[in-house]
Amino acid sequence: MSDNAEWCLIESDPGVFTELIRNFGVQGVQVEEIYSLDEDAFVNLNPVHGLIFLFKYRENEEFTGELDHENKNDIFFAQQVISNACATQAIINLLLNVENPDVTLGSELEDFKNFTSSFDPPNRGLCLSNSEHIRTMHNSFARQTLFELDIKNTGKDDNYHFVTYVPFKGRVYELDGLREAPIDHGPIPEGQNWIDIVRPVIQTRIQRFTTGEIHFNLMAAISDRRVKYQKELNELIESGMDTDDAAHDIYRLQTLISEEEDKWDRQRRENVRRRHNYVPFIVELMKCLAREEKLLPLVENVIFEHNRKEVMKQYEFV
Amino acid sequence: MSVMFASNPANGRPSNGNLFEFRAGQARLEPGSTPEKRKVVSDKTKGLVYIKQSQDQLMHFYWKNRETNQTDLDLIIFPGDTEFLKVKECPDGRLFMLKFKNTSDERRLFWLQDPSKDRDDEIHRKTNDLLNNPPPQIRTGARGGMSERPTTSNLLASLASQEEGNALSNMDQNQLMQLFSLIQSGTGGGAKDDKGGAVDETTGSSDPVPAQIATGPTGLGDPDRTTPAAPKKTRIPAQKLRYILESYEKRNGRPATFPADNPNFKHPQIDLADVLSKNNVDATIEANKDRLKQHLPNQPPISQDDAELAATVSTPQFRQAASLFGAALQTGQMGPVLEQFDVNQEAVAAAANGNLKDFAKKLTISETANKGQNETDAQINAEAEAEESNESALAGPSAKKGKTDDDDNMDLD
Repeated sequence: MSDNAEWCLIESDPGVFTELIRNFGVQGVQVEEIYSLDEDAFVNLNPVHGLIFLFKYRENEEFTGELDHENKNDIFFAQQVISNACATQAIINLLLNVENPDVTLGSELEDFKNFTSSFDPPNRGLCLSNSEHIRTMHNSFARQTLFELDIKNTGKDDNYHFVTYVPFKGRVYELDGLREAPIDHGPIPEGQNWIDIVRPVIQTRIQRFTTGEIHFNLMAAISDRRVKYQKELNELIESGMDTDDAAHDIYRLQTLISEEEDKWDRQRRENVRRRHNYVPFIVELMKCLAREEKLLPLVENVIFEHNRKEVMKQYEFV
Repeated sequence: MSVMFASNPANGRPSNGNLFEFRAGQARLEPGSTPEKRKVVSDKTKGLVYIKQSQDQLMHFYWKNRETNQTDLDLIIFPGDTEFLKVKECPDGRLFMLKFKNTSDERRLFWLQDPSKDRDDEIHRKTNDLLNNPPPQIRTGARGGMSERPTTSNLLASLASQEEGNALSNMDQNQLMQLFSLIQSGTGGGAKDDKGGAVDETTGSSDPVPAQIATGPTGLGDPDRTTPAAPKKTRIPAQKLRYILESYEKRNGRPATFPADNPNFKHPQIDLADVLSKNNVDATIEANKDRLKQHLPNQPPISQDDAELAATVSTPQFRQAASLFGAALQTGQMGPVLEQFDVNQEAVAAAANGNLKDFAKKLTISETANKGQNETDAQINAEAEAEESNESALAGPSAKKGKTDDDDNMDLD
């Protein structure tokens, strides 16, 4: 079993989450950042398997909805044990409740789900934080801690909290690792998109924040678009239609697939760079600049510009 | 040249273009009877302090030797940068100090030589006033500097009038230091004190001049680093300052540099990402590909190729790493890390001091020394290779020289 093994902070970036999820073995999912809760924003996102809401945590914040202590629907809910793990925590709370044929959980997470199926929320949380494999996956996205130094730019990430919204068995739930139980936000009327139910809940919350000027972030777990477009494309091609419209659609879908693949490639590159220790590169670059006698003038320029700005700020124009 | 040292009516300006003048001799500090004390030793030479304003509104504090008629002292005074204080320890009340606040630790002592003490208060007040609240009008015809050497006022005047003249590069270190330290500190003031800016120095014994003055925390001998708590806006024309800075750049092809040996010089926090920006380093990266590529990430989908190298400096990940590294260096904690990177001891020491500019300097010295050696080595290697290929050309096209063992089994063309 594991000891006090550490969980590192990871960046809350859709590319990080998408790759993390895929590294767990999950198939059919990607994560997109959401900037608007309007209906049109969701046209290209549906079906949304869950939402992850990231915000700066405030103690004793009021909440709407009902605490579901009995957990009548047997939703998977793990309580948060380790704060640095909260991103992965929220993701797993989301994934283990998805019931959509597009999504395959993979053996790793299926095993975890089965193993903890009879546990209560605190114990599930404990199990998660003790899972060496999950922790390793999570940590592989940690920001490079280049050196153990006291730099005052930490504290930015402290107290950021993740909360999951997920549709489950016809109801909308909020899964907050710091609460004792899932929060039930009510039923999803027949034929309606669950987003319509969750939208006002989130909007109220956001409004509360903007008055207090709190930074927040919203991400959606959706079906893998490449898969979706590829399926459509295959159907089109197999249908053998030879019309202009069909050709146009084929072209459109191919473009969309290619865009998604470019995006995925870019996200993977960013993740590689996140993991990379740039200190050797930086030192070598500075040595090269020094050798070419450029380093000192560059530093002096920056100092000079800085001071010039200070002058302009502080001196009246006469 | 008009006669300078007639005693002037209190309310009129002297006709020679001086804004103000008074007879005064210089004095200096010498070690006193105990380590904490200093002794003021007055120079008997008859002199004259006179204050003039150059064409671009900068105030000059001059001291002239009345016996030789030479102006031996020419100080540029920026508003808010000095105080003209009465030295209280001096019982006859005629010892004054011109104290610099931001630009240096300089203190100049003067003892009044006017036979009558009637003007003493006015001298105190008016000197402070002129130095810290320069009149807005530029006085025409008043050319600063009695000697032929390029004084700052000459230089600035010539700049202002767009003449070709001595570049600002001829401004001496002190003058340049004053200018930029004022920019650096950004404080100042036009602080008007009803008492003429007199500040209580420490209590001390009251001996006749020369006086023993106890130096405590606010004593004469100590550099006093107090600056006004709230930076006030000064009345230096910013356009003028900007003009000076830009003229310097134009004339010298580079921005003016800061003298780093001024102890008052405060090093601002530099973002290393700004230093290592794409524009700044692209050429160097291109010229040093092989050295740098090996330090790139090497995990799919990234490989250590030219494309990644070219993209690196613009990526948010690199910029963040550079900023962090620069911040860490400037906290003085990067010494041990840099040691692991084969950086020479002097540069490591500079890093341990948190001084990025000094680090850059020391690294440059160390790397350019290496460059000399490497170039020599490269030269030797190049010549050796040239010789080898000559030999093989002579010997015939059979085996190629200098190849590795791997080539032994290759088919030769």
